[in-house]
Amino acid sequence: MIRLTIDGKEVVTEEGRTILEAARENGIYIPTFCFHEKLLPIGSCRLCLVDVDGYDKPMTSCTTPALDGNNVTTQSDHLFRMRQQFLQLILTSHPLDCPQCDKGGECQLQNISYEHKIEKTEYEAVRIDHKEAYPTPLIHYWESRCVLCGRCFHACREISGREAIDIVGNGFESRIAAVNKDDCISCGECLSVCPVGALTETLSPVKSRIWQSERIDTTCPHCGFGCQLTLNVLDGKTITKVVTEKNLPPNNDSLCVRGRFGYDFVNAEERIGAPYRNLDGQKKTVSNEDALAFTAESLKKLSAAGKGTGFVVSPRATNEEIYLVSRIAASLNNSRVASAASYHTGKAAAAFAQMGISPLYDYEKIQTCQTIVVAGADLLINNHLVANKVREAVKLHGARIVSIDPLDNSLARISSAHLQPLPGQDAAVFNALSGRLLKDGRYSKDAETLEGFAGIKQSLEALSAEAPVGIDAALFDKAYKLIADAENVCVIFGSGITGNEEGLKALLNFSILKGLPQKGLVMPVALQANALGAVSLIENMAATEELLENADIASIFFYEDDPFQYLNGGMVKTSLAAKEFVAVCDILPTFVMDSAGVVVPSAAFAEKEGSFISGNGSLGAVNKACKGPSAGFDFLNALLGRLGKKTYASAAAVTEEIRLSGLLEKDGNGAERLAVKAGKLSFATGGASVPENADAFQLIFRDIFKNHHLADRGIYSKGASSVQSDALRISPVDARELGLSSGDVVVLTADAGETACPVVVKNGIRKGVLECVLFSKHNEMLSISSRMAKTIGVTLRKA
Amino acid sequence: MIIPLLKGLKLTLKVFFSKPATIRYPEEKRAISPRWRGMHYFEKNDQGETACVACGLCVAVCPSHCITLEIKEREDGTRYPGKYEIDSLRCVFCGFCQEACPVNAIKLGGDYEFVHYTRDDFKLTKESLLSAKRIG
Ligand code: SF4
Ligand code: SF4
Ligand code: SF4
Ligand code: FES
Repeated sequence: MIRLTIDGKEVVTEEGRTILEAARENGIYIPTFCFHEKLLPIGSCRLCLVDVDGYDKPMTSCTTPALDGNNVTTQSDHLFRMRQQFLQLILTSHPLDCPQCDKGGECQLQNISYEHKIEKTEYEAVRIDHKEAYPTPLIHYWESRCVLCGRCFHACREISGREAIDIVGNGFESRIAAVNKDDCISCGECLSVCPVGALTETLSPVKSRIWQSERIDTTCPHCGFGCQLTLNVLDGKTITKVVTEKNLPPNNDSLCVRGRFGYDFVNAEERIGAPYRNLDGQKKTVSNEDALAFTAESLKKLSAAGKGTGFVVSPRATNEEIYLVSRIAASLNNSRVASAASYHTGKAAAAFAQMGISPLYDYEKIQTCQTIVVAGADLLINNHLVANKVREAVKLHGARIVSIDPLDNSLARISSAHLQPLPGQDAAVFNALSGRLLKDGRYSKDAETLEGFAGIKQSLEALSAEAPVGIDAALFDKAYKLIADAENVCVIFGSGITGNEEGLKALLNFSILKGLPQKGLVMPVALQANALGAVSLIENMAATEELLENADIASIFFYEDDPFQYLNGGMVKTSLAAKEFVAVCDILPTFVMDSAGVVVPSAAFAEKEGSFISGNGSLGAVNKACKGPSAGFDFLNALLGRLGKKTYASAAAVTEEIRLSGLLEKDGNGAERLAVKAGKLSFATGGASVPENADAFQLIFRDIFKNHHLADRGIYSKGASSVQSDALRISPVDARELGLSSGDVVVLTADAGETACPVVVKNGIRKGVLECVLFSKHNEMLSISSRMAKTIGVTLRKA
Repeated sequence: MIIPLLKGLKLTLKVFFSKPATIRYPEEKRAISPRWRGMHYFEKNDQGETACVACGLCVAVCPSHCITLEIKEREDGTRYPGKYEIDSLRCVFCGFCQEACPVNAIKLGGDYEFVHYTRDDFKLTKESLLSAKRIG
């Protein structure tokens, strides 16, 4: 602790803090412009000048460390005049186009100029506009408005770990420009920190200025990280942009491309407006009342006849909607509820429950870990903000990363070791790591007292503790050493692991052996916004194909879900043709609507009231930003009434009932989260079979659940489509052997068919593995395999 | 008794032969002050489109919240009003919008005749503002 005097006030602060931080902690105001809380000090604007006794020139308080005994003056006529002069210099080449600038009304330059009583610009200089393209089409760079504060490229590096932009040129030519276009991930971090209107989003055709707009906080509807964001809404109907300004956890104002730019589907022209029935291949628009009566009658009739009813509910629906679906299901005979959450989150949650690991965790714990293991997940695709937290741990706390993934991933470039097992070989890797921890006696001693320890010890001793076949022994040793030496370890795993039960068990056994979750953190990547909510609310959740294939299920109701997105389309079509009644409730046209007897519109996330449970168990509020009814919720509610059950006055009444059922609890800070009874930690038993690799290639689907409502049957999000596309990627070694180069068309064959698509050669992929990124071609790609799997065996030939 | 009658007749005759205080509206129109604040109109730019750059300052300043603006952006980044609407029934003709406009696009003209059959007709749109009469 050090003591210093600021403006005559005695203040105490920690050593290492800057003068600015010391002043802010004590409520003393120093004007700043280039400084941003989330970034390291930049020191380019010089507005934060202060006088420090003993130094003849003023210093920039944002970069100067506070020293014991400093006497600091923050306000004086002299300082004020200097600040005015620096502002005059900043304004020299800044145009006065505030009336046309998105930032007008919330611009830091406007505010600070006003504060410093600048009424006219004293200097004038040439203004050059090179009109160069920004690395992402979603952001427009206004060169003349840019004041070269440097926040944007610092954010690109420090927050997003990319190096897409930089300052180029000298003097009046200086500007921000793309230095590595391909490195840009369109996260918009630069956009969010720019203090002026030099970076604006290009997505919304309609703009709205701050005083015209309403700002509604809500939770991101895409992945399950649960980012908090704010929708900027015009006239209660058009979303004109997404902003982040509240600094709320877990994302603290950062977002990924989907959170920041994946909102335009809400205002898509293709939205389903009115209910319709498919009669003799013709769409016939019907009234809400008719659609409701028809659905209720059909369900009742089939249920009375003793036939089963299936419900498939989206893991992106709110808790309230999922709850209503399960109430409806409970009122019918032989009903089952399925959800796409069962594939990854469901499996992880079941294994956690079985082994007594709590599914609640705190993302901030990542900062306390010395080694971070990322297995079978690309955090660029889902939970991008976890990658930011991992990078922060690396940058600020010297953590090291071990990646375990046959494919390249966004963290591989800063990983200390990247092990590349074949799909299905993860179990062997984790068992070998566990085996070695046991052999060297470097496991957590608490593990010895846990149930199943003896059994696991015995089975691991029977296995090899050396690097599994095909994995570089030196790299394996390095990874082992990093893990064994670390006091706290964080294990993050994705659907690459949950796709294989043995791998999941081996990973969790390894985690417990290393003393997690007490000494660190073990967390599954959360794929869909409310996957954990769906898993918690639906009892005995089925996988979608179980309902489709089950002949006893005569009717199916799809709630905001399209199985064509993740299952073999041909198979889905045939099974649906055999059903007596199919109903779909969704916001945009999907493939499953062709097989439906009745289609009713639903509401997009911005039109809903409710909540999501994000991956770490915390409850995120979904707030209504756009006027109009919550069509889906209202339909479910009315359907409940038709089935003779209690209806609810509002979504809030449903939330209250969920609360009463004991599913939620308050954490230490009063925030709501999932209530979980702590189980007893135990090891799981499971063998480790060696994967057979009969097919020439293992094709891994990277992000099946990524683009719902962004690109379903058509492309409904211009934002997403301008920066994403379908891709098939192959390793350079395989490409050379097959004589392929990027752009060549190949034919993929699996057990159910074949498809042709262009291939891209990419470094960092293991030999024998193909990476398939799905954006809008789900149907073509998924139709070649008969089963739902993260990984399928394929053969490949040049077309 | 006859005196008051004669006085009245005198006044009648005086007024009868003097210039009338009323005018024969609508055939005749009264001259208005150059600062008269009547119906709004849009100034045009060189291309003959509205000079409005869709900054929204009029929306911000309007005390009766009667201006609706939808901002659109052209390829080159310049802006124009996609939709611009003044609900003249709520307008108090204070002229603040004209004062706030940084490009002198919205003005209050001399036209004070606004009679319509339906309330909707009192909505001034982008098109009607462009074709509106400038001076009364
Ligand atoms: S674009 Fe914005 S953040 Fe980047 S240097 Fe210019 S003014 Fe600063
Ligand atoms: S969008 Fe993200 S990756 Fe692209 S330049 Fe901006 S900060 Fe960098
Ligand atoms: S990380 Fe997930 S929750 Fe956050 S903005 Fe991206 S998709 Fe949304
Ligand atoms: S805020 Fe300190 S130099 Fe800009």
